[in-house]
Amino acid sequence: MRLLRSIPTLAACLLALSSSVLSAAPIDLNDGQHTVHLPDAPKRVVVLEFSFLDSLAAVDVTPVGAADDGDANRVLPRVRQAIGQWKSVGLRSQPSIEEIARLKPDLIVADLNRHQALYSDLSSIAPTLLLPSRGEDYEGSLKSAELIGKALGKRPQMEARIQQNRAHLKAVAQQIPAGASVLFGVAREDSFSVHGPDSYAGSVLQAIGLKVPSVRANAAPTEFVSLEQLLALDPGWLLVGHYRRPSIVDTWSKQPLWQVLGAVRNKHVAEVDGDSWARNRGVLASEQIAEDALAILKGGNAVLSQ
Amino acid sequence: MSRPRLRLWVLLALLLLATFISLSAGTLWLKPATVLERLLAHDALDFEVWNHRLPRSLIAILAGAAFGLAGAIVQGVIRNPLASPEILGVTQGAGLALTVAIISWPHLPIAWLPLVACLGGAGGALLLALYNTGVSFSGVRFALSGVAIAVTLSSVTEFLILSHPLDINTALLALTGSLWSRNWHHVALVLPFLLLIPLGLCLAKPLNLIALGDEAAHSLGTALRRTRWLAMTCAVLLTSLGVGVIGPIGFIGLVAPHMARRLVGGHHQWLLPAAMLIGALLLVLADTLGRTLIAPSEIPAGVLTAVIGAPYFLWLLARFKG
Amino acid sequence: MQRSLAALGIGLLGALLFWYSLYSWSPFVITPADAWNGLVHQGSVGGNMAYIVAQLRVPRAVCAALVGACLGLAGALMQGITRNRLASPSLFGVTAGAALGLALFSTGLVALPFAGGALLMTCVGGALAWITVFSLGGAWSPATAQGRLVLAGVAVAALCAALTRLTVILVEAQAQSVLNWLAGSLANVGAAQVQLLWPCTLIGGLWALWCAPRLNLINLGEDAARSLGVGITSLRLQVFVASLLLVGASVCAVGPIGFVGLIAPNILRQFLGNDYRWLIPLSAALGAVIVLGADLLSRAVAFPVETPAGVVTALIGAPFFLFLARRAL
Repeated sequence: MRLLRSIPTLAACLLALSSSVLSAAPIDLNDGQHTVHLPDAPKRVVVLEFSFLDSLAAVDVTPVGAADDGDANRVLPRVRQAIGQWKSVGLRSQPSIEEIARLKPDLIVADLNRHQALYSDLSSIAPTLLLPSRGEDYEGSLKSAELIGKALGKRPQMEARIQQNRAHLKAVAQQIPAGASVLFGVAREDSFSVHGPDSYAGSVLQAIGLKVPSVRANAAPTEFVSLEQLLALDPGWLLVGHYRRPSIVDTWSKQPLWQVLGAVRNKHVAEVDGDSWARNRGVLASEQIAEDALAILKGGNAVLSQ
Repeated sequence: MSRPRLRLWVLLALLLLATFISLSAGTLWLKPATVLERLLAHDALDFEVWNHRLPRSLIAILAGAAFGLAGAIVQGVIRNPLASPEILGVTQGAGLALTVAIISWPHLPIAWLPLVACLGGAGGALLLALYNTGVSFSGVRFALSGVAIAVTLSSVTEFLILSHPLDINTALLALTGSLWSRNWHHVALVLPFLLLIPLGLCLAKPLNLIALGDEAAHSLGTALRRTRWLAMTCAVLLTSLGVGVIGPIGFIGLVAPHMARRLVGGHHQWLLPAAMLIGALLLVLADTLGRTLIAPSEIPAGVLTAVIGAPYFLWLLARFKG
Repeated sequence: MQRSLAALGIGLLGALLFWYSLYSWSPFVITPADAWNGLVHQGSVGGNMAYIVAQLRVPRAVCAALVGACLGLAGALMQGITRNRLASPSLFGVTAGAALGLALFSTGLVALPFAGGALLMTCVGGALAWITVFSLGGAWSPATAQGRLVLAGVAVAALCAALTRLTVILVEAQAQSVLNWLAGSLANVGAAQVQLLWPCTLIGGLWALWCAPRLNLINLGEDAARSLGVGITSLRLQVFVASLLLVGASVCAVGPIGFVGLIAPNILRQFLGNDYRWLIPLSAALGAVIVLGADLLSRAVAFPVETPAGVVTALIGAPFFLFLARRAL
């Protein structure tokens, strides 16, 4: 009798013991620059780029703090919905180190391009991962997501989510008319920046089977172009994200020369959300881009943020 | 105690007060008692005071002092109150060298940057010297030729930055006169100041003699050319090292010596230390304001020194009788 | 005789550069025939290339010429009234002040909802800079060393640049934009900019020509001029307003472009002497040539990526300034 009653207790103890052993497992990883040692699965994470927020959302982890340029609306809506609230630590380009320290994180994820100068400060606060974000393409962002998943101790979950993402993109690719050429660019009040095949948005579009024209040989991932250069590129579809309204594309569209563009004549010009397409980057962002592209190519509209 | 000496002590006290305020200020204001406590306790877990604000304030003090001292030396040698290292092309030369280095070797470790800056600053000064060979020395002409060289160097820098946009983040960080992200590693880089500053202070006597006029200095036996060379080298090194660590920051070398002169008079034994203290005070003030006005974002200290310094310089110019 | 030759030479050079810029350095293959069609028939004849020339390249070239004329005129005027060879809009901080005004307007910190608000802001910014430099640099006192005004101008320009940076930092969190504000470019100009520029250039140019004889008298010496009946204060005011209009219009259209106002009059002075009746119109022409050339270079240097024209004029102008500073003192 006593033995029978003690079995559930024993089982419970074993379960507790095994789970604590699992979560107490230290995590070691190498982010390409340094080896990082985490004594335990981190519970208080601070991220300094939108793409890292995206990776956290993919595995349902809420950070305690994030660098969001002081404007949470810049973050992809579906990422915001998955995560909830976080504390802002300032600009992505110049986050406030004091705020980060005050949050007492046990893991920091920073951008290799922007935050290298801060590495020694950040790593003195908490173990820090330096991952590429700005200038990254689709495949690179998946690799970074994998590493983040491993750091959070949620590796199987992240891998499953990535598989789901690839399948989703493949499904979209099958519905897309083959060989369409799509150009995405970001318009400010006085300049238009084209995101070429090496940019994040460009690589996602290529992953779903679209062609992305290149501005020139050896182009940077994003390049400024004038109206004349845009006319020379003459893409099949033109997708514009407006950072400021009225933007230079608004001015150009009032010119009669705008009608020379094949995309304009065929009514293949559409507006997309610049923040989602250019600034966010990540697993959920790639799905947003794919869904927007599919909707537009089918004759509908993309999701525009408020 | 003589008036100048008293005023120097007052300046020192003001500097200490400003530093203390700087340590309390930031995204979160710490009470003075807390600051004192953390300073004394030196807790390794304390991030704000020891790891973040203290090195920043130390760099601001040393760099500001260096800029102020360099300005006073240059004004003493050229005997023209409109002169300063940034007007002579030293700052811009250092900036150009930094840009070229960052664009050619993107992974250059930060420890090399001060050295590169010094080479650039020396280059700028050399250009200026070459430009002025064979012409009789005149204060305003010298300053003007410095402006010409400075403008040339900064347009080349701008061209390089605009044609290499990928490198913009790293370049902008080094070329924005700002103390953001400066920490104990950078403090190690400014340690040479501890050598250069005393060297500069030794120039007080020779500079006094130069101030009497060339003939007087000659007749008193000073090797005039040698002193000028030594002094200018010292000023160039002080400025370039500062630029190498915190980027180009203007107007301190122009404004601090003048304020010092009004406080303690023209004798370089008092003038040089006063210029140092005022320069340090200005930079600590600019950095503190920059960090707190729009927290958690920052205004670079270089922008604030220009906003404070330029009007003062203009007022100076208005009073200057040719 | 020499003057007519110079005028002819500059005119020819300008026309050549204008023509060449219509069909060169383009991602398209544009033939001179297309350029002709675009220029003369405004693209109604000749197909897409001619249309592109008419809609994009002709306005750009016209804009370049007008901006150059504005800056050349302003430079000549400023040099005339201060009797200082180094006087020019960029060196005296007027361009930087105008750019600050434009930045305040465009970032929305100063909201002027009526049309022409941008032009007003650039003129006000330039005016404040001018007043500061001229009064504090002692422009009107007889015993001024040539360099003092320049030093004042450099300080004001640095102050305006810092305030422009501050404005952009406060309003937008983007580093790239700051550099774009401070380097003038002709990359995206169109008919709107031409509409803005040509009345200002015309008014400013005619006004400057009207001032020219009096400027000649001033250069003989202020007392001499006064005794000959020249109203000095009134002339100063007129030059002030005319120059501001010219500089304000050019900064409003394409952003800050420097050194043109310095180079053009000084080159001409070598060959034509100091007669402002010739110096003023030819400075306009030579200024136009310089900016046309700079715009061509800005497209050619790193084709197909464009460098801002302001950077090109600085690269050409700064060594020229070096040369001039050595001789002028």
